[in-house]
Amino acid sequence: MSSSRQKETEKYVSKEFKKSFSLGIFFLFVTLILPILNQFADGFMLRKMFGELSVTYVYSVLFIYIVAWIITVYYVVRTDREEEAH
Amino acid sequence: MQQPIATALVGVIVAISITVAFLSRKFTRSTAEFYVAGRGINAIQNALALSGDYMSAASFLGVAGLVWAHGYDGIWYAAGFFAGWLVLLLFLASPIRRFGAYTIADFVAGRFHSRPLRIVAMLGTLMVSLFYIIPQMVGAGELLGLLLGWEYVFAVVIAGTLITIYVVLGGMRATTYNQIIQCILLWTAMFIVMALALGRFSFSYSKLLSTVSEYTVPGRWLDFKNSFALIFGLVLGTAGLPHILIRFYTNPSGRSARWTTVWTLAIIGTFYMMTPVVGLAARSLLGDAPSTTNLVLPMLAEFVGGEWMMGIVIAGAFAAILSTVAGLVIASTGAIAHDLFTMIVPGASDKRQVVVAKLTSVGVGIIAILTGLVFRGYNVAFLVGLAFAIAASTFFPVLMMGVWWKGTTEKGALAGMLVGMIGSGVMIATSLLNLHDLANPSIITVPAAFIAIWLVSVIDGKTPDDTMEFMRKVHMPEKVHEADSE
Repeated sequence: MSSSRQKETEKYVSKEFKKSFSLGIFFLFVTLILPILNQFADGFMLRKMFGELSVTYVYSVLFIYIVAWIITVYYVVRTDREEEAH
Repeated sequence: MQQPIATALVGVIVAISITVAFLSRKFTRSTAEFYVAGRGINAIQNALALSGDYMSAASFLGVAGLVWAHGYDGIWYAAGFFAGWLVLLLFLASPIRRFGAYTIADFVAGRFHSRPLRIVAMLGTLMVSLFYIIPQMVGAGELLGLLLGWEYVFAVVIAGTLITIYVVLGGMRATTYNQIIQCILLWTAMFIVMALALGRFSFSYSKLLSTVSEYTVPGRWLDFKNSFALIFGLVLGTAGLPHILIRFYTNPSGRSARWTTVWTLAIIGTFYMMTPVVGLAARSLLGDAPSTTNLVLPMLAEFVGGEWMMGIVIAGAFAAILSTVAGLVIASTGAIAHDLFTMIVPGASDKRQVVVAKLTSVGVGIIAILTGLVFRGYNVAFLVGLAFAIAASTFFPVLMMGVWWKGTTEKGALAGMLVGMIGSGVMIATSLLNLHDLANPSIITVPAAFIAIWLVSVIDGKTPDDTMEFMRKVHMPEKVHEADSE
């Protein structure tokens, strides 16, 4: 492979990794922080948010899903645009 | 318990499955058609098929049952099964499709040009698929026996034979179309049960929770350590399941593979969001009446919608089992007929490979039936957990490092796969001997596999000569490859 193509590939992979890694780490943080909060901030997590729905309940049945969908659409639309512009 | 409506609906599913396979039979004349449906499945079709493939009986019956039994702690399963898809999207979906092979062993062997790696990946695929097939077949036997009054042996043989017929007749294309139909059926069944159940609480989620408030707090079942370990294992396990990963090969492009994952996240996300409602409604309306967790959903369906609704749910459960086992049969067939056969007979013609693939599918179908009969009575949830743990430990680290780190070497990849596979096996065995109480070993074995890949690769230092060509192929947009080839 020519050095220009090699540099182009390295730059592209690095940019893609930064994007995927930052979004992935953020989502893993959002997911894995839940058991930690349940353990160490139980008073806050058990507080009622909407009627009988507590903070931890809303977090596990709604918030995680919404965050995942937002990240998904953001990632796919951004990647499509980047690929078209490349 | 005899259920004429459920029996009739199961009969309809059987008829549809065979018809679809019969109509798809002309699409199995080449290996590309048999294994990856000619790479012509669009994003929405593939998302529906992937969702059907992924949502097994464990998802359809098991999660609602776990929420009924353990309340909030059962919801971990729903969140974990869902969250893994984002990891798959961000790190693996598009690169795997761009590589454009048939199996996961193809991908690993193609990255490192290694025969030993192909063999280990093939063994890993078979291990994961087998541990996933067993609980589906056991579930089919027990469920159909309990709900339709069928003999256990009869139910297992019927399910196994049906799946084998439609995989052999129609390959990946028939499997895909059947999975699409089955996905729609089981999602709709869950939605109707949820709506009817919530109607008993004036469509108020808050009112439902007020009747079972003691089940909405964490810690009834899992402690902090095991909650963490479980969600870690489920998230990473999804991104290592061979029967899921190979479905990305059926997309026409990397872009299409990404959009497939978007639609899949929408379908399975809405599905898993319904399971806590159903599980807690069952707790409130049925109390301790169900004798096992697998019966919670059918019993709730009968309670809120009568015999017809119960029939639809049983048909949905049957569809869930069929769609998942069919995907696993294709993955296992690829491991044997493609990975192993082409290694033993390198110059085999495409026509001969298709014949071998069909014969192998029959063999895998027979093995599925036999394992269903031998493992009767085994704990279904435990076996599914085993498959996720092995998948997360064996495949996820090597795929991640192979795709994203150019410094990964053949020896490093081999070390990582062996550490993951053997390590998860040892951790599971020692758990059975009560030497530790970790619910899911991935939290130890996945980092161990990553460390092994990194350490051995750094010491070895012999990266394949074409690493950058591989990186360019799997990461860069398709139009760059077109420009490269001009």
